[in-house]
Amino acid sequence: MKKLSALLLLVLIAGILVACAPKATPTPEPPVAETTAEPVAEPEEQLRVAVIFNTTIKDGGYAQAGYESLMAMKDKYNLDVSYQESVGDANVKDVLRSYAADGYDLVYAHELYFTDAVNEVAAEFPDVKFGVTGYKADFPNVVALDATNWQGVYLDGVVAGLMTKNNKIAMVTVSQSPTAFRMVNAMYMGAKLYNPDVEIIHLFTGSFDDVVKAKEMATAAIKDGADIVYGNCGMGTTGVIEAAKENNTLAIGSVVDRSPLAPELVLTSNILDSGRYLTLAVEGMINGDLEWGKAYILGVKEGVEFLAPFNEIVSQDIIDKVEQATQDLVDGKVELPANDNYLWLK
Amino acid sequence: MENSLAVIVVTWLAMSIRMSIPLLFPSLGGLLAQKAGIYNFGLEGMMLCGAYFGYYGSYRTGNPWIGLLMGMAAGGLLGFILAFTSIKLRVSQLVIGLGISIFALGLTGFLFRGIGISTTSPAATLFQKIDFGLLKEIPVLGEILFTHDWMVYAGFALVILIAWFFYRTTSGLNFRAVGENPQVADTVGINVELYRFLAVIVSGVLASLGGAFLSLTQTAYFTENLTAGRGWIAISAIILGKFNPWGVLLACLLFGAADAFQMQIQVMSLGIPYQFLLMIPYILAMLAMVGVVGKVRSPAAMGKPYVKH
Amino acid sequence: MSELSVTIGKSPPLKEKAFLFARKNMGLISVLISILAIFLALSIGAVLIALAGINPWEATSYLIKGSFGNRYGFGETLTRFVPLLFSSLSFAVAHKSGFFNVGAEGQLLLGAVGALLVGAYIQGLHPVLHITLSILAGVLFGAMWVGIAGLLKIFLQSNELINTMMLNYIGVLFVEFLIHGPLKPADSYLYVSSTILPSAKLPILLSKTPLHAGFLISLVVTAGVFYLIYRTPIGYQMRTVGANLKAASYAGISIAKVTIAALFVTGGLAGMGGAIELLGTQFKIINGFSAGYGYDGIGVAVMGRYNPVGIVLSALLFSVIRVGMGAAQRGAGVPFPLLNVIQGLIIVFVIASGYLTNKLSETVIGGRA
Repeated sequence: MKKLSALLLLVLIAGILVACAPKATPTPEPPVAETTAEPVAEPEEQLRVAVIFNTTIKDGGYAQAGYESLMAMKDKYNLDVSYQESVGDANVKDVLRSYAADGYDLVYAHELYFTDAVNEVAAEFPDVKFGVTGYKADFPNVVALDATNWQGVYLDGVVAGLMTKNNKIAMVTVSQSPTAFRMVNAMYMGAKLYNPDVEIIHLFTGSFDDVVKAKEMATAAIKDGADIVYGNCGMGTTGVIEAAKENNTLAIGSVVDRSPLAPELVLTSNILDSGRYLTLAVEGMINGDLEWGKAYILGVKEGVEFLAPFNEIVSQDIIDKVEQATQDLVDGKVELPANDNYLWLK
Repeated sequence: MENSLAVIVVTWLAMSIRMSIPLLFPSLGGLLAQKAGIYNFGLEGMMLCGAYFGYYGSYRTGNPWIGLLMGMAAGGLLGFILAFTSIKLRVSQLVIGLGISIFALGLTGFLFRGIGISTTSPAATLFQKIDFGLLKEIPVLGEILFTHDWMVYAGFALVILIAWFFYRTTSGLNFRAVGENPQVADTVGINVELYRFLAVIVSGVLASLGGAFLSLTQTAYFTENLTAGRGWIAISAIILGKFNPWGVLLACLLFGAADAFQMQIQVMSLGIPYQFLLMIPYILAMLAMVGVVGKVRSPAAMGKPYVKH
Repeated sequence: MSELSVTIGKSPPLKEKAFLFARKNMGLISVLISILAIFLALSIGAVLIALAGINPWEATSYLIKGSFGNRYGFGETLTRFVPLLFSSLSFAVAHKSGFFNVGAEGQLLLGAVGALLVGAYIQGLHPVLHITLSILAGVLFGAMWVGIAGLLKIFLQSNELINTMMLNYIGVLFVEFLIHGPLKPADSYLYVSSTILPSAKLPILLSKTPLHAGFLISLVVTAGVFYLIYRTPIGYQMRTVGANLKAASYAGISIAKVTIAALFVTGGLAGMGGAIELLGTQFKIINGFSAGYGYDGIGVAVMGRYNPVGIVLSALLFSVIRVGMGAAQRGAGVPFPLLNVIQGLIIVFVIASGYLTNKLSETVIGGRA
C-alpha cells in the first residue's frame, strides 16, 4: 500500500501546487540581449521581434531563409530578436502566448499551418502585433503574408516546356497538397504555352527531409523517360538535383538558387524568398506601410517569387518568352491554376 | 514505349539493391551483436553518427576516406558505450539503445549547426563512382549490377565474410557459443565479456558504415535525421532474416525492393493514395514475420545479462 | 557480509553504521543516485550549451522559469506531462505482463482518431457523457491497434516488438491518409481533421494556462492501473505470466486470456493518452500530433523503474525539460537539437545508474533494490 499512498500524496501535492500556481504576470520579462556584444543605442525603443519556425533553421530552405532574413534585419534595425525552431503545430499556441506575454512587439509565425493558431492567440493579445506566413488575418493586429507558390513554377514551366525533348517533366514534391497541385498545374500551364505535347509526372516523398528518397524518386522518373526534373520537397530538393547530376539530366530547382549543386545541368530555380515575408512584416511595422488585418498574397509582382539566373544553355528566345510570361503574371493575365486535381485530368 | 515495362523492372531491381544497402550495414552490425547475445537498439544513432562524421571528415579534408574513418570511429565509440552499459552495467538493452539513438540524433543536429548556418552547407567530397566501362552496357544486368558505388559491393562482400566467419572459423564458433550458451562458453575458457564487447563495438562500426553510405555516396550533404528511421527497420530485418547473414541480406533486399516498388508505383501514377504505398515495406515486414512463425531461434542467451559465477 | 558487532559500551564502527543506514533507506538512496545521474546528464548538456556560446546559467534560469517559474509555463509542463504519462504506463503494464509494447506512438494516434469520431461527429450530448464516450472510443481504438500485434503474437507467435514498432509507422501513415481525405472537413484548405465539438472539450483546470482536466484523470488512472496490477487477481495473473510463463501455465492460468487482458490495458492506456490529448489540448488531429510521446514513454517507464511514483516523477522531469528547453531557446538562444541530447543523456545515465543502485543494494541488503 506504500506505493499507492505515495501516489495519493503526490496527487495531493499536485493539487496544492496547481492551486498555488504563480499568478499570471502581465509585466513583461526584461529584454534578453543576444550573446554578441552590440552597442544598444536606445534600449527602451528597441523593437522586439520574435519568430517561430516549424522546422530546424538549418533546413537549407524555407526556415533558413527566414532565419537569415531575421538576422539581417536585426543588424540593420538594431532589433532585439528571439526565435524558436522545430515547433510542432500542436505546440505553437503555447509558444505564441509565451512570446506575447513576454512583451515582444511583433510575434511572427513562419509556417502555413500556424495560421489558425496565430489568429486564435492574436485575439487574446490585442496589443501585440502578429504576423504569419499564411492565408488569413481575422483580427486587426494580424497580418498574413503568403506567396502564390505557383507563379515562379509557371515561369519554370515555360523554360521546361521549351527545353524538354522527350516532353516528359518530372516533379518531386512532399505531398499531394493543394499547394502541390497548384504548382504542378502551374508547371503544366507554363510548359503548354509553347509545347502542347508536354506530360508531367508528379511524385511525392511523403517526407520533408528524406533527401535520399527524393533522389530515388527523381532517378525513377528519369529512368522512366523524364528529361527534366523539378524538385520542391524541402530538404529533399538537393536529392533531386543530385539524381539529375548522376544521370546527366537537366534540372530545375526551387526555393533557393540550386545552380551551385550542378551548374551545367540546373536550368534555373524558382526562388521563393521566404525571408522576404519577415522583411515585409518588420519593415512594414517600422515604416507603417503594411496594412494589418489583411491577408496578402505575394508573387512575382512583389518580388517574393522570381527565377534565378539562367543556365547559359537557355537560349535568349526562351528568356524573352519568360519575360513575356512574367509580365503576364504581373498584369494578372494568367489564370489561377486548379488546386484540387491535375489539369490534364479535368 | 514498348520497353517501358522492362525499363521499370530493371530500374526497380537496381534501385532495390541500392536501397537495401543503408539497411544492410546496420542489420549486419545488429546481427553480429545478437549472435553474441546483445540486442543493439542503438543502430539508428550509430548510423547517424556515421553519416554526420563521414560528411564532416570529408568536407573538412576533401577526402571521403578520412570521413569514412571518422564515421567508423564514432560508430565504434557509441558501440563501446552500448557494450559497457549492457555488459558491465547490465541495463535494459532496449532502453539504452533508445537513449543512445535519441542522444545521437540531437548531437549530430547540434554539431551540424556548428558548421555555420548558411543557405548552402558545404558539400562533402563523395567517393568516386566506379566506372565498369563496357560491363555497364550489358542489357538488363549491366544496369542492375554494374552501376553501384563501391560500398554496395562491399556490403555484399561483408555478407559473405560474416557467413564465413560465423560458420567456418573457430572464432566465429566461439562468438556463437557466447550468444547461445555463455555458461558453457565460459567453462571452456572463452572470455564471454571480451567477445561481447568486440561484437557490439564492431556492430557500431558497421552501422556507421550504413550512415556513411548515405552521406558519402548518395548525397554530399548531411541533414538532420538523414537516416530517417532506417536503423529501426534494420532491427526487423535481422529478425526477418532469422538471425543469419544470408537471411538478413534477403530481408534487406526485400525492404529495399518494397521501397523501390512504391516509388515505381508513384512514377506510374496509378492513383493510389501515396500513404498506402509508403506503408508497403512495413506491412511486408509484419507479413513476413508471420511466415517466420516459430522458426526463429534467436540466440538463447539474448537479453539475459551474463553473470559470471 | 557485515555483522553487527555488539560490543558493550562502544558504538558500532562507522562501516556498520553506514550499512544499517543504507539498509533502512535504500529507497531514498536509489532516488538520490538517480538524481545524481540526472544532474550529470544536465551538466554535460550545460557544457554543450557553453560550447554553443551561450551562458549555461542563463539558459538554466530560462529553463526553470519557463517550465514552472511562471504560470503559463507551469500549466504547459503539466499539460505536456499527460500523454507522456499514459504512454509510459502503457509500456510499463506490457512489461509487467511479459511483453514489449513499443507501439504507443501509433496506438495513441489511433486513440485520438477514435475520440475524434465521437467527439467531432456525434452531436447533442451532455459534456460529461460526450467526454466519457470519446475517451472510451479512444481506449477501444488503441486496444484494437495493439490488438493486431497481439493476435499475431497469440496465434502465430509472431514477435510483438517488431510488430508494434511497424504498426507505429503504419499508424502514422494511415492517420495521415485519414486527415488528407476522410476526416478532413470539406471546406478546409489544410490537411487537418475536423475539430471536436465544444461539448467534448475537457475543462481547463488552471485559468490562463493550457492545463486541463486530463491531468487529474491521468493521475487517477495511474493509481487505478497500479491497483489493478498489484491488488487484483487479474493483475496477479498478468505479473505471473510476465515473470514466468511456464509457472503460470502450470498454475492453471489461461495464458491467452491474460495476454488479451494485458493487451487491452496496454493499448487502451496509450489510446486514452491520445484521446485526452485530443480532447484537452489539440481538439483536432494534425500532422505531428504526437511529439514523440510514444517513444519517450519507454524511457520514462524504465527510468521510473516501472513503479507509479517513479514513472510520474520521470514523466514530470521530461516535461519540464521539454517545455524548459523551448523557453531556453526563446530566452537564450539554445539550439533545439540539445533537447534530444539532454533527453538521451538522462536516459543513458539514469538507467546506467541503476547498476550502481543494484550493486549497492546487493552489498548492503543482499538483494536487489
